[in-house]
Amino acid sequence: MPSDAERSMLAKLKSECGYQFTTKLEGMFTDIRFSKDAMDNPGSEVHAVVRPTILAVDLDVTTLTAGYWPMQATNTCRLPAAAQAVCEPFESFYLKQHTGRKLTWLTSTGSAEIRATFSQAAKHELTVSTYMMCILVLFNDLDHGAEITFAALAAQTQIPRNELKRHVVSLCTPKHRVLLKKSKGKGVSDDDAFKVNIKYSSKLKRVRVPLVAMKEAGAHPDSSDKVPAAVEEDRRHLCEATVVRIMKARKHAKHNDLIAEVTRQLSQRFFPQPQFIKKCIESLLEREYLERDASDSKMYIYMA
Amino acid sequence: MAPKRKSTSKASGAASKKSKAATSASSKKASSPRGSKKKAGGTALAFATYADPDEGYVTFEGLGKLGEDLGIDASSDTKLLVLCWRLGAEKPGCVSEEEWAKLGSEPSLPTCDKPVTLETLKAGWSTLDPAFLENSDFRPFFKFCFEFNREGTKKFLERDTALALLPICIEDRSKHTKTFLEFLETKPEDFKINRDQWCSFLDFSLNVGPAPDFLGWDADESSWPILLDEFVEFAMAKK
Repeated sequence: MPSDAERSMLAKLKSECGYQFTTKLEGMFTDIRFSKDAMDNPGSEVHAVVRPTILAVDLDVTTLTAGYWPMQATNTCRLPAAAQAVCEPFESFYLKQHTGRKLTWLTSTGSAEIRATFSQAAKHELTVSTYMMCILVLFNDLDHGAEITFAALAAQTQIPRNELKRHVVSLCTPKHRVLLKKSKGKGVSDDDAFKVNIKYSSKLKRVRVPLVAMKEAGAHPDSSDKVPAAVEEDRRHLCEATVVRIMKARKHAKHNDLIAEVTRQLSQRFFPQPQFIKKCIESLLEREYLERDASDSKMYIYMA
Repeated sequence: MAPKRKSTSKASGAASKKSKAATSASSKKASSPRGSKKKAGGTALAFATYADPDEGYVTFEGLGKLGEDLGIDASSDTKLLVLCWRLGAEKPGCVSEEEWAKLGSEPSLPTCDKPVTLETLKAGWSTLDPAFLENSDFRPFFKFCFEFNREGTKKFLERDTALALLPICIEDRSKHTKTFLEFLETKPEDFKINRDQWCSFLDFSLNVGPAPDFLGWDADESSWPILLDEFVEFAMAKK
């Protein structure tokens, strides 16, 4: 449900920018509201489908309208049989109610709560991502303490490789060592093997396993090196403007302080390399917007 | 003077050859109607003798002639630059009449409160040696070298000008000169050096130890111009 603050923001945007501008946002709110109402209301028809008492899995579905949400439909991974068993009735129920619609499961989002027994003493409820659930459930079919390779994980879950890497590494972090990785270090290779950490323990009964951020998993790892010339030019102007703005306010600043401040102010847009900022400062020195302090070459002075 | 000025270097090249003849040449000029009056005790250093009548300034040509008269090599004698600096020359490559008049009043000049003649200047010429300058005085002089030798409105020195000017200006104050010149040689011919880079080179020389250790150099937090970062890289790679 949108909070009051969100609602008033939406109203302001609507009056300021027009109806067109906010249709998608409103659509998002409507999606969330409908889904929540249906799921929470024990009397609704859908409730009977997703909360069947006979199945071991509870399902909570948020139905989103494709055009409203900035989500790319990625390939659906293969869900564990138990999860598939609840998804199918929902799917057929939904499609019967709304003919002509198409339903895609966004397995790259969402979360799951699973009950895990590491040993008789250590039973935990883990809150994990959908992908992590798929990975962990695979171990149920294996012998106690058996290993599975990364390649096999990829083949059986059909999770995109770089995503799989990120999710499986999240399960091996020192803080939440649910799985044990055979090789040392951060990298994961195809024939790396994983097994359940039967010695896992936590003070908490319910454990949330967070997803690690993986830099090298980014789509364009070295994109910062290859920005188009026009963008580079824009960045230069932006960087110079930032330097001037800071110097205008401070009148003088140490080199390192200035670099740090420019980096901070620009970090929302792009991450400037210190060398890049230095180039901008030098250009400003040359054009006599700034000068170096005669007694301290690390100090810049703003020239009004 | 910077040998980049073709006319100057030619003039001074001639000067070194016929420096003896220079005195007679100047006395001939002194007798010309526009020239200076001959005073008892020597040849007066009149503005009109050296100034370019079209420009209204003593230009590089005039300074070359002064070098000739003094019997020095105008293209390599730093003392001539010190003289212009002491005169407070503001316009690149030019000394105005007003500035020229300081010959008789600027306390640091040998001609101060003495007859402003070629002979007085010649006798005290060695006192203008920049080696006498403290670092705190040398810094503005070094900056002046840049300002005086740049071309009119341009805010940089061409690579070749810098190559010729730097060694005569900085002399033995920098342990980096030789390597830095080699480094500049690797730059393309149209490479330019700006004021900040020029002045920073002096500060760099005074603050950073000799190669290959570059004591006092901090690569991560370097506030030196990128040119000097590149120079250190160059010097380290050379080793």
